Amino acid sequence: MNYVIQNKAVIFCLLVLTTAGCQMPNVQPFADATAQLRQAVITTGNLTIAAMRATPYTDDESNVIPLNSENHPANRLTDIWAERTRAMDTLVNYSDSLAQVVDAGKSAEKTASNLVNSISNIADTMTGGEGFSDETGALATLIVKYGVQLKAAHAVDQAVTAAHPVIAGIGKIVKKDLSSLAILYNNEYVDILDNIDEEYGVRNTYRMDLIKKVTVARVDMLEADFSNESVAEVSKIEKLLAATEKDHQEFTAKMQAAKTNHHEGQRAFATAINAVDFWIAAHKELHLAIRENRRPNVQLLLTAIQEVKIAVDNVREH
Amino acid sequence: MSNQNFEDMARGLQSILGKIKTSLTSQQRVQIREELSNFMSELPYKPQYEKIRQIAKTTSQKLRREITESVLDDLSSRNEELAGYVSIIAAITNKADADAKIVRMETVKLAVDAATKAITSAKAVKKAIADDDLQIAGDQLEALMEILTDLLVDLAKSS
Repeated sequence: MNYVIQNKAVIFCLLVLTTAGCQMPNVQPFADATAQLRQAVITTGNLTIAAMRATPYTDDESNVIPLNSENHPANRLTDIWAERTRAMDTLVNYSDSLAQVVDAGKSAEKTASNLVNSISNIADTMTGGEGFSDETGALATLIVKYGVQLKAAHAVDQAVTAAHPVIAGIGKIVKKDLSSLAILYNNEYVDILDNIDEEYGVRNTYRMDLIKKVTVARVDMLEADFSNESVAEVSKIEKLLAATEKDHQEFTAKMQAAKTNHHEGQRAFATAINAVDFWIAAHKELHLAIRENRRPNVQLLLTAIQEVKIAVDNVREH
Repeated sequence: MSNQNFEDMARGLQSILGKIKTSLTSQQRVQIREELSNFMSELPYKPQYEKIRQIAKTTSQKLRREITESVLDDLSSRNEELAGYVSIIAAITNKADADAKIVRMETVKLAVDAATKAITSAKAVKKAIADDDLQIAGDQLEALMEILTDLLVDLAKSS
């Protein structure tokens, strides 16, 4: 009876040769990148909305628009950006679904192994231990595993093929949206910096006048050959100038912090815009990799997404 | 803050205001606002400069509103196209979810089919042995092995 089994094992081998090349597509990097891109979209939206609320908005008659008014531009942006967040949620669901199909295919290995073991046990029992050899069982497991995985790979291929033009279309819109949002963000930072400047403006002008005065007084002191009167004048102005130091340091620190925040925000926008291109390219690469039965090359995407993560984390820490 | 006098500052403001044209993009308008901002930071907080500051500030605020309005309109104009794409992706996602379930069910179905066929065949072998009909038992056993191996071949083919 064993010869039957051995012959069948040859058939298994042939079948395995035809199926063992099936690669389950690695969709996880794309799924991770989509989740990170979603976070970047949410964070840049929140940054801009917060910047719009940071300084008062005035209407054409210079009346301040209340923050809770539906006419306040920040509230209009909140509504528009909520649509973008929902779109990103849909993309995350899409990439998660691809991962689910792949997982279903991968879990076939365990089920297949259990199935073949059961069959093998029955064969062993019936033949007094001369049923399937271990190798035959392993080959059979591979056949079932790859068979189910081929189905999964086909399902992912169908989804990715249908989705690619849409992914490219959404990517283009997200890129344009992020560019538009960056303009709004920079527009608001003009006011944030102006407000700090205005807060300290009178004191800064006073300080500048003192600096000019002390410069002139020092020249006068030299020309007066350090007369008591000229030295006293320089000393008096220097004391006044020293008294402004703490306030000036506070101004400089506040201005520097605002400029750093602005810079970090700009970096988050730039890296997110850049990452969208890699994200679209990664989806195309996933599509090609499935067709060509190879692992997708996602190195550039991973680098871009890592940069986005760092930029977004930096901004969120502030 | 510079050492420029009132006339210099007035000319500076005039130069910036001269760049404002209706054809400017929002990005270019932001750049003009940044120029106005730098200009104002150079302007002394003294009564004689207040008029210049007021003009610069009012102009900057007008530009701010124009930029915001224009960009928000720009964003809104893409809402419909985005919604269309999102509904397609949602449909593809639903199909992929269904496919994931089918793939899972496929494996379970294979297991159930295999178990059913194997058990049916094994029962026949057991019955033949119980009946002490070794010839039939041998044939049944060989048939069982055929079924088991064919089953695995079928599994591969059906995939």
